[in-house]
Parts: sequence; structure tokens; C-alpha cells
Amino acid sequence: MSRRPTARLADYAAILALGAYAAVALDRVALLALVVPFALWLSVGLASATPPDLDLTCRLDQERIGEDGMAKLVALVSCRGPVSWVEAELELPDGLVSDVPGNRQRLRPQDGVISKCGWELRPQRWGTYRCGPIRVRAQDRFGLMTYSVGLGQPLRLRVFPAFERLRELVAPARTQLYAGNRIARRHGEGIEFASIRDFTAGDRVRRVNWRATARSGIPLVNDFHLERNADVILFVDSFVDLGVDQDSVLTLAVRAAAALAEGYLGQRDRVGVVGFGGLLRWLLPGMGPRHFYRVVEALLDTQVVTSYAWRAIDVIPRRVLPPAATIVALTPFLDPRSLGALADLHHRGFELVVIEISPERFLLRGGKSLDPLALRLWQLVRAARRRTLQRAGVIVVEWPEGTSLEAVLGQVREYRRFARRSAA
Amino acid sequence: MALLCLGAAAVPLAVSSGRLPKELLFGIEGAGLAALLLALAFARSDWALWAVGLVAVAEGAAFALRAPALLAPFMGALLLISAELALWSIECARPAQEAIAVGLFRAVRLSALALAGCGFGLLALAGSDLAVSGGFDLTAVGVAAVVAILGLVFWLGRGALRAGVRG
Repeated sequence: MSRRPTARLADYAAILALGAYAAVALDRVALLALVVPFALWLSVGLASATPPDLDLTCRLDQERIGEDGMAKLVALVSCRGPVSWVEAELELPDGLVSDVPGNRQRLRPQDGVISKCGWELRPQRWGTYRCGPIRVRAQDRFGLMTYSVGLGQPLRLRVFPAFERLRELVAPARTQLYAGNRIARRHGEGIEFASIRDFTAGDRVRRVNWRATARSGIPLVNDFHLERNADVILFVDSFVDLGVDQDSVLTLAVRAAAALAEGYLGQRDRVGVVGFGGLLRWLLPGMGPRHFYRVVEALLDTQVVTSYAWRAIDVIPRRVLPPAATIVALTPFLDPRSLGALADLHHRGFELVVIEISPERFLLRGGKSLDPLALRLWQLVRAARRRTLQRAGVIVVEWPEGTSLEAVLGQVREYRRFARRSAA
Repeated sequence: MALLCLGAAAVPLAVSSGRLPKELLFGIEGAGLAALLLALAFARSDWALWAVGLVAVAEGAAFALRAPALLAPFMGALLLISAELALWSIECARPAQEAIAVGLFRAVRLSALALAGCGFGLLALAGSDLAVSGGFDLTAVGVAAVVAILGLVFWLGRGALRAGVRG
């Protein structure tokens, strides 16, 4: 605990000393009478000033909230010793605001009685926040000494991004071995009709197609599609960000990734995450409702870390990219390293869908004036990168301003249909 | 603080030599009040205490010159009240949520100390009116009493700081 005499102590002592000196020097009792209240304040105050015994425990009523949610941090303060007040000041990171002015609350606790104070915390954007520690200050009864100590462990509050609920997703082209909701190309036990074939030893009688058998004269059975799940890897390009806080490329990418994760996990697919940027982050594919929270928490840690090191996909652990996985990449095409990684993934046989988050909207915000020639060059560089992937057969769809993710996914489905027709 | 001490130390000297003009006296008090106003406007507690110190110096000079001594304890209590109210208002300017009990405690504390200070001041004045003939011995006792008060404050202050270090 640190202690500090207040300005009051030094100044009152100076006034007292000068008054006393003047009284003696000028032989005037009135001057002494003038400073007697200050002398009394100092004498009583200093005689009663002892350091208090401060203690504090704090907790959050919930550790995970949505962007429009609210969490309450409650602190229990106990104080033993004579104090005029105890002030609890909560240290909050940027992006989190409380309902208390200055995040400070001043209490007058009774000796040994636990006092309660609370802060309602509202996030301004998604992310992981550390709330606290709480700095506790106490002043003795006459305001001559201030005692200060940082108490309480920092608490972690996770703010989940708000995201769009998707009604329809991009169906992965290939399925995996686990049971799921997707119709596999392979035939086997399922409920989706595939074809009719000759009866073979071991086929169940209930699968015999009696009408077809009667028509053809040979026993025929119905064949069904297997129902399997798919592996989807969400590739979030975090090399460069444009915009600020709520309104940035990275925020859009994180919201879109959360929406896709929720959609695919709802279809019983396995979802993994790769945060590809200056700092590489990944989450192994998994399934189930609990995995959704893991995905979102992995996305919360996504941040732009400046690095000039060249990164290729060989830095991604093998287990993160299972064979026959579908990779949905969210990128603004601002860094050539992500382009190289995506091209590499495509050449390795992964099904790749690239959603290009248009960064132009963030350039033109705030009435900034841009050099038209520089802007044109920048647009051409990005278009060249886009074309590189498109020429290789990758589905690249631009996500312009004012368009929902649902509409962008619709474009991806349309692109696929068009590609199939063209191939046919 | 050093400037305040120097200025305040110069005033009794000037008064004793009888050279302090009325305009200068009003000037000091006016400057003190203006400084107090500025301190309140800018929410600076250190300025406020300096300003109160300036006003105290002006008051002291007035009492040394001609003001009736009976007013001194009341003026002292008023000075204390003005200093505490200035500090209180400056603390209120800092954003914080303060419990009502804190405000009540401050008000009670200030009223009690101001009243008690006033009472002790009057006692000191009453003591000075006793029909005791002056002389070197009595002056020495008076000086010793003043030194004892200052010593007591110093000793208590040192004790409080040490207790803080231990804590």
C-alpha cells in the first residue's frame, strides 16, 4: 500500500507556522487566533491518522456477452481503520465503458463492514477485455493522508461479435466420414434416393424396389446417398486492416466468420479457423454447439500484428487443414502474402471459396481526398490479385458495401452453378 | 509554497515597520480571491490552497494593523471553511460517483472543526486579556507555547507518515 500526504497537510502546516511566527513576531494574539482552526484540524487529523486495512473482491455476473449486451462487475470492499471515504476506481481498457462517471465510486464504509459497489459495463466493439485491477484509495478522517493500493485480479470479459444469421450456406463439394446433414456422393445407408441397382447378396428385403422388379423381371433395389458432414476451414486474412473499430475490414471478416461458423456447425459440419496474418492463429476443426464458442473465442483474439516475414501455408499445422476440406477465405486482398497462401491451398486440392471484403468503403470514409491516380493503381493491383485466383479456377466473390453476407453466399452458389453449366 | 511562505513572511515585517499601504493590503486579498476563483474554475486544489493562504496573509495583516482582535477566531474559522469548501468543490469536479454518506460526513466534520477552532481561538483571546503584567518570562512562555504547537504538529505528521510506510 502506498501512502501520500495530501496538499492539505503541507499547506495548513505552512499557514499555521506563518500565523504562529507572525503572532510572536508582532506580539498579536489575534494572529494566533486566526490560525487556531488550522492547528486544531492538523492536530486532530494527524493524531487519528492510521493506515487502514483494505480488502476487495470482485466478480463479473457473466463472462461472455454480445456486442449489444451488458455485464455487471460487482466489488465488495471492506475497510478496517478510520477513513473519511474509500474510492474504488476500475481500470477499463479502450472499447469498454461503464455507467459510473470516471469509473470511480466513493463509499463511506463502516469499520469492518463489507460495502458493495458495481459498474455496468457496456462494450463498444467485440473483443476480449481485461477489467481491472481496481485501484482502491482511502483518505483518513481529516483528509491529510491518502492511502492507495491496487486490489482484485483482472477479470476477463469476452464480447462476442454481432453477426448475421444465415439461412443458406455454400455447400461443401466433398464430405467426410462422420455422419451429418450433407448428402454425400457415395451410396450407402441414408434416406435420400440415389438410384436403382441389381439385388446383391446381403441387401435388405425392405430395400427391394418391387415395382421396378416386377417390370424388369429381375430383383432390383433402391440405392441411397450417405449423409455425412463436411470440414470447413474459415481463413481470416489479418495481415492488414482498414477502418476503425466497429467499422473495419477485420471486424467485417470476424462477423462473417462467426456467422459462417454458426451456420456450418448447425449443419453438423466440422469447423476450424485459421487467422493468417503477422501472427498465425488456428483452431482445430470440431463440431457441436460448444465448438461454436471456441471458434468465436479464437476469432476474438484475431488482431493485426505487423510483420514483414513472408508466410506460406507450410506454417499452418497439418491437422488444421484436413484432406478434402472446404476453405472459406475472408480477405481484402491487401497483402500479397495472403494471395500466395490462397493460391497454394488451391493447388493442394482444397476446395476454396474466397470472399473479398471490399476495402474501398473504408478509404473514402470521412470525406478524405484521395489521389485518383493512386486509387486507380491500388484498385488495379487488387484486381490483378483477384484475377490471379479466378484464372486458377477459384471462386472469388466481392462483398461490396451495403450487401448482406447472405447475398454474397448466394453469388457463390450462382457462380458454382454457372461454372457447372459452362463445364457441361 | 515557497513563494507563499516568502510573501507571508514579508508581510509581518512590513507591518512592523508600518510601511504597508492600504492599497497593497487590498491588493493581496484581491489577488487571493482572484486566485481562488481561478483555482475553482480550473479545478486545481494546489492553487486553491495557495489562494486561501494569500487571503489568510491579507487577513493577518489587517489584524496586525487595526482590525478588532475579537473577529480573528471567526475569520480563522471562515478561512478554514473556505479552504475546505474549495477542496470539496474541486474534488466534485473530478468525475466520480460519491455516496451521500461521504458528503454528510464532510459537512459534519467541517462544521465541528470550524466551531471548535472558533472556540479555541476565543479562549486564546480571552487568555490574552487576563490582567497579567508582561515581561520577558511571559513572552518566553508564549514563544514556548507556539513552538510546542508547531512541534506537536510536526511530531504527529512524522508519526503519520511513518505509520503509512509500515502499512
